[in-house]
Parts: sequence; C-alpha cells; structure tokens
Amino acid sequence: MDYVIKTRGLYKKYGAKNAVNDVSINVARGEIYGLIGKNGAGKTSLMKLILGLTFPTSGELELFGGENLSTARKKIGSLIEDPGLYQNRSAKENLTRFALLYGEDLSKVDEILETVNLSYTGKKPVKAFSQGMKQRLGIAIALLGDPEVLILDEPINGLDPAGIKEIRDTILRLNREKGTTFIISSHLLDELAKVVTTYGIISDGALIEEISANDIAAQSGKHVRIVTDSEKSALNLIKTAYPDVITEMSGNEIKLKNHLADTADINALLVKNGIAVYEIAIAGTDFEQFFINKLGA
Amino acid sequence: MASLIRFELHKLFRQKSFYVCLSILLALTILNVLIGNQSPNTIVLLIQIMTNQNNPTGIDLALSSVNNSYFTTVIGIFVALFVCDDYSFHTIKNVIARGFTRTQIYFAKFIACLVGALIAYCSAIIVSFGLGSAIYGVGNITGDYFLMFATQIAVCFAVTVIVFSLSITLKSKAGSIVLFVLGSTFIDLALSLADIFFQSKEIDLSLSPYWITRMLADTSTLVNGLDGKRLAICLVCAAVYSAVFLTLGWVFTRKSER
Repeated sequence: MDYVIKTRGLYKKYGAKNAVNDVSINVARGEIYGLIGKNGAGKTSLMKLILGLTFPTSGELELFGGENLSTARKKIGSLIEDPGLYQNRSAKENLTRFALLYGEDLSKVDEILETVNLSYTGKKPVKAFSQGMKQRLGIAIALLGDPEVLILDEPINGLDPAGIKEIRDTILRLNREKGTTFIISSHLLDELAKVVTTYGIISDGALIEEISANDIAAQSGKHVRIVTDSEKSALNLIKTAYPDVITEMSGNEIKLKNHLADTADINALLVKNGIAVYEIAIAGTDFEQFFINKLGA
Repeated sequence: MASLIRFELHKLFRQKSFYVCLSILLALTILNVLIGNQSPNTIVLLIQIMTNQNNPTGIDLALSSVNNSYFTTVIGIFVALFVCDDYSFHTIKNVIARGFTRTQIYFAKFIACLVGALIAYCSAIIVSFGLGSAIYGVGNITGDYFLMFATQIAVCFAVTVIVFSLSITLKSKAGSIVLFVLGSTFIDLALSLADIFFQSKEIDLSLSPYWITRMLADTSTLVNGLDGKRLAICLVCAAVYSAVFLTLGWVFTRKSER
C-alpha cells in the first residue's frame, strides 16, 4: 500500500507530560483519515509533529515513502489551530503572499477566493472578518499549490451549516477528483462520519485504535437506511457499484452495513438512474457513544 | 529559498511601517540640514566647528547623516516590526509547515532586513547630499569619502544584525524595540564610564571606540583626513558584531523552537 504518512513510535514530551505517546499511524494515499479524541488528547500535537512545527522527542516520521521531509512538506497543505493570517491585509493580499511563497500561479488567487466564497471581501482587512471567514481563508491558503495531502485541524470551527457543507463538499470533491489525502480532526463526529474513511482514535497522547469507517459501522450497528420507489432496482444498482456492500432488506427499506461514507455518491447514483429516493440517512447505534466507549469517558 | 526571499521582500515593500519609518527618518534628516546653522545642537554646526568652515558642504552632510541616534532607532523599530510580524500573526506556521527550514527562514528575513536598512541608509545619504548641496554646494568629493561610506555601510549592517537577532530571538515587537533602544543607551553609558575609570587610573585603554555609536561618529567626518587604521578597526568590529550576533540569533532561535 502507498502510505503518504507513516509514524513509528512518535513521542513528544513537554516537561513531565507525553503530549504524543508512542504513536504509530499509517495514512494511505487517497484516504480521508479522521483523528478523534478528547480535548488535549494530542491530536494537534501529532499534526504539528507531522508538519515540522515542533520536533519529536523520539520516534520516526516518514512522508511519501521516505522523501526528504522538507521536500515532502512542500506537497502538504495545512490549517492548524487558528489560521495564520496577516490581520491588517485583505484576503487577496494574504493569498497573494502565500501564493508567491508556494510557487502558485498568481492568476489562480481570484479563482481560489471564489472557491471559498471570499471574493466579495475586496480590501476589507482580515481583522474585520468573522471567525468563519477567517477559517475559509485559512483553508484557501492550505489549498494553494495543489497539495497532495491536506492536514486540517478542526476545519469547520466557527462555520455556519452552509459553510460546513461547503467544506465537506470541497473535501469530498478534492478526494474524488484529485485523490487528495486528508488528515482531519474534529469534535463533530457526525460531520466526520460523512467524509472519513479511516479513524485514528487518540487518548492521552496514545493511539488507541486505527479503524476503518466500514469496520466502525459494523461494530457500532450503524447503517445507511434507504427508502426508494423501487427497492429491488436500487439494491441491484448499489451491489453493482459496490460489490463488497453488506445489505439487509426490511420491508421496503434497504440497510447498508458498510459504505457509510458513500451516502452522497449512492444518492447521486440512484437519482441518476431514475430512482426516486424518499429517504437516505445514517441510522442505528449512536456513533458518539461508540467513540465515548472507546475513549473511556 | 528564492521563493522565500521573494516572499520576504514582497512583505517588506508592502509594510506600512517601513514607509512610515523611512518618512520619519528623511523628515528628521531634512530638518537637520535645513535648520542646522540656526541651532547650536545640530550636526551642521558640529561640522562647521570640526571642519573650520563657515558652511559645510553637501558631501560632508551626506557623510554625517547617520551619525545620530534617530537613524539607529528608526532602523531598530523597522526591523523589529518587520521580523516579529510573522510571529505575532502566527503566519510563520504557514511557512514552516510547507517545508521551509528555520535556517532558510532566518536568512531570508535577514536578507530582507538588510535590503530595508540599505534603502534607509541610501535615502538618508541622498537626501542629505541633495539638500545640502543645493544650500551649501557639493564640496570636493574625493575617494576618501567613498571609503568612509563603505565603512559606514558595514557599521549600519552591524546595527541591523544586532536588532535582527534580538527580534528573531524574542519574537516580540515591543520587547525587541525596548531592549535595543535601552540596551544601546546602556552600553554607551557603561563604556563611557569605563573609559572615564581607565583615564582616572591612567590606564591606556578605551572601549568606546569599539562600539557602534563611536564607530558611526568616527566614520562621519573627514576633518582630520582619512584614518586608515581607524577605518580598519571599524570594519573589523562591524564584521565581528555581525558574525557574533547573527550566530547567536540563529542558535537561540533554534533552541527556543526545540
């Protein structure tokens, strides 16, 4: 498997505390890797170690199969904690500066501003932006240079529902169209569940478990519940598109035990083939409870 | 590295504080030249006294334009504001996280600061020379003046290096400015006191000539002709200060980020 990020026994000690405690993660190319953990669990510290913002106390970090770390990091975009922005400058000036630094074509700056819906801000300084606007600008900066990997620390902080959907759609689009790999941390489990393919569960700096979204669905009893006007045709279409899908029929209701992250694509597939979708939702055991049990809260 | 230097220079030329500092520097320089012979406390009168001339010349005024506290203070303020911006806005993580090493960042910022300081220096020289020449005449320009200017540039670079290394170590605008201004004043006073002490004990030693303030003063006038030995000392001291502070700044920056 082509792993873009691998850590082996990574430690980061601050005084007597291990902020990152013997963490070994493997992020495959094209994955959307979700880091889950309580506040202070070590998610941000781990991301900072990967990005070189802090130095590990011990352990190994491998990027893109062993490339020189400085060269490899040029292919990684990131948004860690609060976005780093020049507060007295406009959104366009901020993007222009970093576009110069990352070797991005300056003519793409307007296009990227359009993508994050900030092109209307004109000369307004960033210090006058709302938290959501600053977050969107931070994501825009992370997208400069067409990175192969994006590391996003709580990317939907401060965003309204429309903004959250935009970010989610952007993540899924980049992953689908460009094969961009993501590492995302968030407290909003339901939002993560809509995009993530693999979870890394972190507690007290240690990695408790790496588990795929499909395995979680199987363990937690979560399933996709689909109600259509033609369940047989719908079932055939789904099984053709996803040969490994685990299904169960209950009356006119189709239950998918895996592929929870593919609800958007499944919906699009059914509609495209003329099937009316009355309901498509993730149901079953509380997703949050599954993680709370794992984290021992 | 090229893109990093381009990034730093782009920031420099869009930094309002750079132009504000430059404007203040030039305004004070102009004031000094214009009201010089009206006030006993200005450099023009000093030049008149030192050169036994009724009036100084444009080239003399140009040479003496940086021999004042406001030049080094303005350099200190501009460098501190420029260097610490990335740390106060936390934009430095956008640079580090994209694979630029701390050494590359250090030297790219340093190069941008040198460019800014050189622009400030040249601007002060040109304005003093232009205005002074218009009022008093150009004067007799000899090769000695260019040697003096070259030495002055080296000393000004040393000033820039000192405030740069303080700023990048402290990462605080206010702290860097205060430490530089007060530190320079303290060192001046301490060295002067030391010299007075040595004199009182009839010890043939003087420390003031080896500090920035005196070096700037000694490279600001040709009243006693060119003192090659003094110029060499100034050049060597400037080089030593630059090397020491540049290294210390690099070491402390790396240590603080481990």
